[in-house]
Amino acid sequence: MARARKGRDPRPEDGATPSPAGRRKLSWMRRWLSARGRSIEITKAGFVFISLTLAVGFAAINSGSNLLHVIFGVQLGVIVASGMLSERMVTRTGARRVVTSPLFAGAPGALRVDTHNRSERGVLYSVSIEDDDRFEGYGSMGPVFTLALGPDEQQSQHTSVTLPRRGRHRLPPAVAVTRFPFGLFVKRKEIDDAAEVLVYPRIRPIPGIGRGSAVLGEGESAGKIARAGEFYGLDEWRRGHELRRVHWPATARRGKLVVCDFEGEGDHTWILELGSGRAGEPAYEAAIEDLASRAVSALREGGFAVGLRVAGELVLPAASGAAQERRLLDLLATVGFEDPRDPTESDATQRRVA
Amino acid sequence: MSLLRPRGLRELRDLLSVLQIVIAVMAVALGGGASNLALLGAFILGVLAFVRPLPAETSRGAQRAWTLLVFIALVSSLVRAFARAEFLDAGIDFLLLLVVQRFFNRQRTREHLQLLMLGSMLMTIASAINADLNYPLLLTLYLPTVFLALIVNHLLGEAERLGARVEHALIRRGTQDLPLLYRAVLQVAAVAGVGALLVFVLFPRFGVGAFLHGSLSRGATSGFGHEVQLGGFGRIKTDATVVMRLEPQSPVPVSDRLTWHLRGNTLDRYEAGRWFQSEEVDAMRVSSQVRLMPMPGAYAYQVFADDRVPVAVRANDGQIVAQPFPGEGSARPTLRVLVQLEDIGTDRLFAASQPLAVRLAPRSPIEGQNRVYGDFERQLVVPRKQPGPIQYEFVSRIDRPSARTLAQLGDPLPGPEFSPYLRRAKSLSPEVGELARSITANAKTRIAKVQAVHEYLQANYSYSLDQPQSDRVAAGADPLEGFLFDTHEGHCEYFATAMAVLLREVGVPTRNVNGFYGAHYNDIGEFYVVRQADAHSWVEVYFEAYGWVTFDPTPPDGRTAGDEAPFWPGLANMVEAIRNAYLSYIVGFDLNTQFSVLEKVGVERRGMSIQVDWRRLGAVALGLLLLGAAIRWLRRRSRHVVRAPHIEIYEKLLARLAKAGVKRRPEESAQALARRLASEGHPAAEELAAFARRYESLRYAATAPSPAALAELTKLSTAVRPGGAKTPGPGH
Amino acid sequence: MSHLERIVDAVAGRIRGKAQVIELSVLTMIAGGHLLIEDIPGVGKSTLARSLAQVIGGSFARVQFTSDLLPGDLVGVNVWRAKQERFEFRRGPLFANVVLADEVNRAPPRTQSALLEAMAEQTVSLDGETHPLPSPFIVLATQNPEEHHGTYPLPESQRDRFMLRVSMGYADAEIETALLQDPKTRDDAPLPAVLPSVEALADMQRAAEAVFVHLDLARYAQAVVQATREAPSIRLGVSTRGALAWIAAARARAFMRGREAILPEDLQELAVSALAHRILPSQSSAGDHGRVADELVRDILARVPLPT
Repeated sequence: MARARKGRDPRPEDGATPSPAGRRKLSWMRRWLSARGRSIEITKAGFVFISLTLAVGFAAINSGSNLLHVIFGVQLGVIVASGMLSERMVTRTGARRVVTSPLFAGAPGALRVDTHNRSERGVLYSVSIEDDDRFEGYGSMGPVFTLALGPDEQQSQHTSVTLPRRGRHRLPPAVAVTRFPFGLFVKRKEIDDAAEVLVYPRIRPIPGIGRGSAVLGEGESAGKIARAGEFYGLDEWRRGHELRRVHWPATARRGKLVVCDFEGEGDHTWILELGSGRAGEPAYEAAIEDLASRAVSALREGGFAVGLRVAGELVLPAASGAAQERRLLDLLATVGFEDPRDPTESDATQRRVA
Repeated sequence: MSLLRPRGLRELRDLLSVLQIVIAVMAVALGGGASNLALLGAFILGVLAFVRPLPAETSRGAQRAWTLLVFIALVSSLVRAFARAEFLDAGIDFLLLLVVQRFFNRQRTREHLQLLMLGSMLMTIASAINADLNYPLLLTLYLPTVFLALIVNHLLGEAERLGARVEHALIRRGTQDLPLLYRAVLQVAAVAGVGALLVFVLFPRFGVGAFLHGSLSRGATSGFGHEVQLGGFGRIKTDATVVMRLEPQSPVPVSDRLTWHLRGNTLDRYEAGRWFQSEEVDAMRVSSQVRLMPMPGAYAYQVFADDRVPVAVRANDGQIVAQPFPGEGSARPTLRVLVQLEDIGTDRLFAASQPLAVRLAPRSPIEGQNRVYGDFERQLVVPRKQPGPIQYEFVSRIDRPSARTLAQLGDPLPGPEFSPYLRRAKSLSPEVGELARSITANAKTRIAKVQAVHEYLQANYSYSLDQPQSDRVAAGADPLEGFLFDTHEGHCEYFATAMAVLLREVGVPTRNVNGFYGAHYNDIGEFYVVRQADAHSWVEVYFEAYGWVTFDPTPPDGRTAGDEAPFWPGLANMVEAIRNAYLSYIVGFDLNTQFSVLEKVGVERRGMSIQVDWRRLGAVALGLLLLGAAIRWLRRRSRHVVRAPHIEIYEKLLARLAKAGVKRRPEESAQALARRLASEGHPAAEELAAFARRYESLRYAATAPSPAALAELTKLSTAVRPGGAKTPGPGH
Repeated sequence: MSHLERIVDAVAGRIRGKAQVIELSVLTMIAGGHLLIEDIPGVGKSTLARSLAQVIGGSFARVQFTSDLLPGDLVGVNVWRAKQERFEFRRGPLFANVVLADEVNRAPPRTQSALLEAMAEQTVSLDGETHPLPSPFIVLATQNPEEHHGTYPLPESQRDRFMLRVSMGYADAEIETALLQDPKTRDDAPLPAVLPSVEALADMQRAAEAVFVHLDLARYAQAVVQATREAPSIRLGVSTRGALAWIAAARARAFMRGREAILPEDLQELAVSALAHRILPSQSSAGDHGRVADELVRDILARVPLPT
């Protein structure tokens, strides 16, 4: 069922490049056991136990010994109880994942997993929320494990999540997994938290960015702007204020001198330039990553006002500060996708149908 | 030691792993499946494994050494199993070695899982060899232990699988969630218990019997063997261990104590304080024409026959009757008793003297491999007896020829074939002969001699369990002489030996018989119990045409000396009764019992076809269904929250609406529902809106609704007709 | 006919086809809150505010927010009176019962802060002196939804100060046609006051506060608010102040309908108006803030079950 995604050829020179997202090839046993809505898998210990049960059953039939029948019955009971309990565990599990930090492609971000026991009477034991190993290439999350949750209790755990590509994506497919009580069988249930998250491009640290640094690369530098910055507000004139900052209409109205305040801005304004391209093209992606890395470094360390021009059109006027960083990354995260929605959306829907 | 008070899950897992192994090994050991040496070795090594700090990882060298050791053990076990046919011993010893090896390397989940598997294998083996009541008790201990062990091990396995972070969290949480886990253990145990019960009752007992030809036996060891040392019985006179359970199949007067002599083996040769079998008698045993043969008309029974003439026959009324004593009327009724004989290490079966016939009543295919043989001394022998208890039925006559009849025989000279039974012990001094002759000086007949000796012993000797050693014996004389001439007190063996020896001095053929005397009635289980303390020794005297006749020279108070033995008689009776029930209903449950259980619910087997009484089966099914429904109802009731009456009214209305296909959305208020219905053109929308207004004003008001308001609300709710007079069609 | 109905009727006579907005503004008034009207210019916001002021017999002030509006233009200034040789406080336009703050997002943040502080405290302070604002004090602020350069959208923390956010929308086609055909329907004559005095409104506010809230409904409201905090599609959920405002609005709504207890519909009907402007959707960069937030609130409302 492995479906190669168009235009997502892994770049050989980059080891961290994500593999194409899709279904992973499963063993015939897993496929057979999970066909038609079943969701059970037998572990190694489970196979040993089942063979032991068959052996005892054979011995019991062979010898007619009553005690062997009793043991055989206990073993069958254990198998049934295992199935019942694990089924209950996954139906009791409610889980939701919330991303609690900005996500950069290929880098772990903070993830909170809220596990909820939906049963009003039963205890939820031994459930882990982890990656659905039937898929690959959608990213991964660190597993979280719930030992026991009383009726209707909730528990929040923190872990990390890594998404391989920039853009608007669903969180990587996850499952609630239980092997309770004995680790003989594995039961899975898909976690349906359909939230989309915005993944910023991959950021590399760029050392040594400073004023007049050569690291900046392409882009246009507007140099110093005399009266810098955006209009902030009006203030009464005080000694020392430049006269050319006087706001004459207000002065006329108020009968005293009023000056304009401007937002402080970096000395350098730097408009980054991004060519046109389509998301997924290796060269284009590399350019975006490069751009993002430089922009972030310039904003964080260099004190630049950074703007963005895409395909010759100014999409983001230069500004500085954390908000500008976010705006820039927001843009760079989604640039190049024909549909600003998740490019893997169609995958995700099919995923759920499957 | 941290093992005993587990603080973390790892310690708990260690404790549980050990505990389940201990239980399993106990079950095997109590079934006689493990040698003391192996147990001791495993114990010492096991303790060593837990005292020593567990390394984080087994070193390669240690791994290699263990592999080598296990390999050697495997080879030697195979050799033992096939060359010396010690399948069971070799197998169990090998398993014990594996257990020890795992004890030493128990870092990960896998090793503990293997320990649990070894435990389950030992437990399974024990189920085959331990048919005693301790097995179910151990099993009920074992199962929860192993369930909890599996759960804890599973949790640690998840930690191993999911990585260090989860592991850290789990270990830190420790055992604080244990009470919750106990709940899970109970749930599993309940399901497993039901499974066990269902399989036990319903799974047909095929007993195919393939691969069962090998013997599990390690041979009978001691006890009622080929020789008895004088004085041995004294030790067991206080032993309350149960040896046999007797269930009379023919009517016997109910009394607290039966007075049967249950004979086991006979011994003909006495020498220096020791009874044993002489070679001559052994030779006679081979050539003798007295054998067991199938009883005509009742082939399940094997009857003693002398030259192919059975000593008992099946009468027309189905009773088994004994041939009459010569000159004494007609055939006599017999005693028929079903016996469960514990494995006391003997290959003899016990039957009340005189045994006439026997029938094995095996309860399992293993037991079914036993065969019984009888010899001319009327001993019943099961050569190569399978380990574990054996069930059989004996037919005996307990009447004896009267003294008058026997007196008519006079004092005939015994034939040459009786010389072994007349042989004097070389260890005895002539004094004994003089004593015998003086006692029987006036006796003219054989019976008179017997009675004279009997009376003499009764009159001049007393019963005692202590046997002080007299100077004479200390100087090397036969211990019997100490009894006869010095101490004048002793237990049954001395009395029996004295009588046999004294009578031989005067030409009367005698032999020593060992067995049990009497049985105690267990009024809870309604059967008779024979204990080790009832072990007894007596004498049989040969009276030509009448055969060997039983005489018991021990004073009556001595015969019953073991009666006070059980510490708490009531409790002992109860335990005995439970044990008996266990053996007959659990261990002895078979295909026939299954069919009889099925018959009770209406499924009957007629030959090869199965007849179903549908009415009865239906009644049973209905009963079960009702029971299930009742339990469900009770459970739901207990779950049910008491609701305010107006909410109840609304919920009933909602239920009615739901039936008519109108479902409230979970986020919808009553009025919103009414509005939705109105927009959909539902016929009941108007009434529902009226109801909803009233309902919500009551529902969210500061005070509880008044009865009048409730009545009004009920009226409004009944006014809502979900089905409606008009059916909503597409035109709406 | 109660005062309230007459208030609503009187205002409705002036602005036709806007019954819902009128109700919400009266409701805000009774709940003692402030209203944020997010809409394009020229749909009758000023008329609404002025009519409201007139019917309650209170004073009215309109401030057009511009980029050069100073805090002092709003709250007033201390003027040096040479004659008395002291500063005299000259009140700004905020000293009115009903203040229409038009296009608040055009003013710089500092001025916005001054307005919002006055809304929160119902006082203004200048040079260490505190001047109480008249009671009742209701701010109807309008905000242009179109984001363009040179505007200062209210930050989330500030939007939280408004009890409800509504959008007026264009008039119904029919009413608009009538308006176009006959400009005389526009009546600029002042409305007669409905209330005997402005203080009567304070009584109503107290009565509205006494409306009963059933525990189940409080739980329900909490569950909804909690859901906004936990929804992955929402970056910032509703604060406790927001929840309180929601309940207060629901109380006022129940009071307006002559009920003694709030019903689920009070909460549900007001949820979008009361909650949507307080949340920040995760996809902040994508398009229309307000619409996305409205949808998210409706979504949550459909997911949180209501007890039977």
